[in-house]
Amino acid sequence: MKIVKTGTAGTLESSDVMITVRSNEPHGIEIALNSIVEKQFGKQIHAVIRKTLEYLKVKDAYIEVQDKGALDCAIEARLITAVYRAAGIKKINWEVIE
Amino acid sequence: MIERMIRNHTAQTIQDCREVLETQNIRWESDITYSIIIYNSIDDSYTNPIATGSFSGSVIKCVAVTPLFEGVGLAQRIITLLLEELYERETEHIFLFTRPKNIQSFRELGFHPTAVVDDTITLMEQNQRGLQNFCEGLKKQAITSDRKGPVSCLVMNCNPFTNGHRYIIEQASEKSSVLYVFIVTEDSSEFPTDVRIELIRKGTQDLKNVKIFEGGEYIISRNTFPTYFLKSQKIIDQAYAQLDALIFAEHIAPALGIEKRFVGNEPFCPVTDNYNTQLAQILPQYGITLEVIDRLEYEHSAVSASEVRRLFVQQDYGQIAKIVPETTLSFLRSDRAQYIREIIQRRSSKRDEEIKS
Repeated sequence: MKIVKTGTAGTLESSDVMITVRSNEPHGIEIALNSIVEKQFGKQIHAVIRKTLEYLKVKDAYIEVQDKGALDCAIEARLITAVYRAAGIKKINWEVIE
Repeated sequence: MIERMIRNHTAQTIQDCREVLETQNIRWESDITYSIIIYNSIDDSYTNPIATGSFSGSVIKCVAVTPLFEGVGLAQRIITLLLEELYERETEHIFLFTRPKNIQSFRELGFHPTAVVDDTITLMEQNQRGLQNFCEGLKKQAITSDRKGPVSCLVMNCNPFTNGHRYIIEQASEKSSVLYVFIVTEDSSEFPTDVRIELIRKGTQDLKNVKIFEGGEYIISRNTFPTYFLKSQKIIDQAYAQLDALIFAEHIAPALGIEKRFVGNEPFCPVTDNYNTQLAQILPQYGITLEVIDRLEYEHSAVSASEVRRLFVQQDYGQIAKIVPETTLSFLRSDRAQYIREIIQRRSSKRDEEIKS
């Protein structure tokens, strides 16, 4: 999927995450993580994001993550939504993601 | 608790915002275009406001939570709602100005400090790479020339382009190898940014070592500079000049290799004169020299854009022709320019009303 604009999803509330996806051609995937549980789960969060982007076939993106302690499934869902918004696609095919 | 989104303020909604802001010693700003208020009422009515936040253009401002409700996540909620609305409007760069002591709080809300002036003011941005990207964009458009002299820069508004502006650009370009002219982007000018840039480009086409840039969000306009948390006019002017000079000297000038900045002298405007004084103090610390150019006079007074606007309303093209280039004159005579006359008229009559009241 190609990132054509800035897309965002999520909130800054406790146990949620706000993810902003920006275009980053041709610099590949870059992640700026800011998490209240970075010491404990930083690596895990990076892995979830990389894996999800791979699924979505996103090659170039600058991902800003403002994490307030969200679970992996929440991070994944927020990221998928943000990527679709950034790609300018309105209809999300959740089955493909599974 | 009930959340309220306000696109058009009424006297009552402004009063509600003020009530919250006053508990944190923050003033209301009149250019606000959108606000959120959170009320704490038992019957879900719009009474007892406890938190608020607003924006104007791409700048988030006037965010406050009453002391009693601090620490329960209301600020997060307010910022989330404001960001949602700003993204809805496809705002690419989102900024806020705050006291440096609040940097940590806003960092946790996803903002990054772009420039910090001592303990007075800091500019924070939601996109961590915003300024970096802007500077890389400038680098790609850099030009070179065979002329001798420093790489220089001018920052102008040109509302609209006059012989006075032409004179300053000419003088500066003669003394430079390359001259970059940044045009302040601001919607508050009577002549829209794209028109101002078009007129400057047309009026300086013959000067081969001159490159015109749209200033963008990083050449901060005085008119959009928020002041609601600064105490006095003197502190405001100082903070504005320092922040603007800092971003210029630390980021924009190095990106283009700028060694010199020219300014027009300001015999009549104490605010701009003070700004020039601040620049003269700050820029040399970064190895940039400042040179003042005397303004062009016509019949014993400086050629001014406000005079052109006044004559334009009166449709006195004969007088205008004496102080603007042919390119600007023909634009002012064209159909395209007529709606701008209405804007100027509306503004000046509004100003008159304000003076009367």
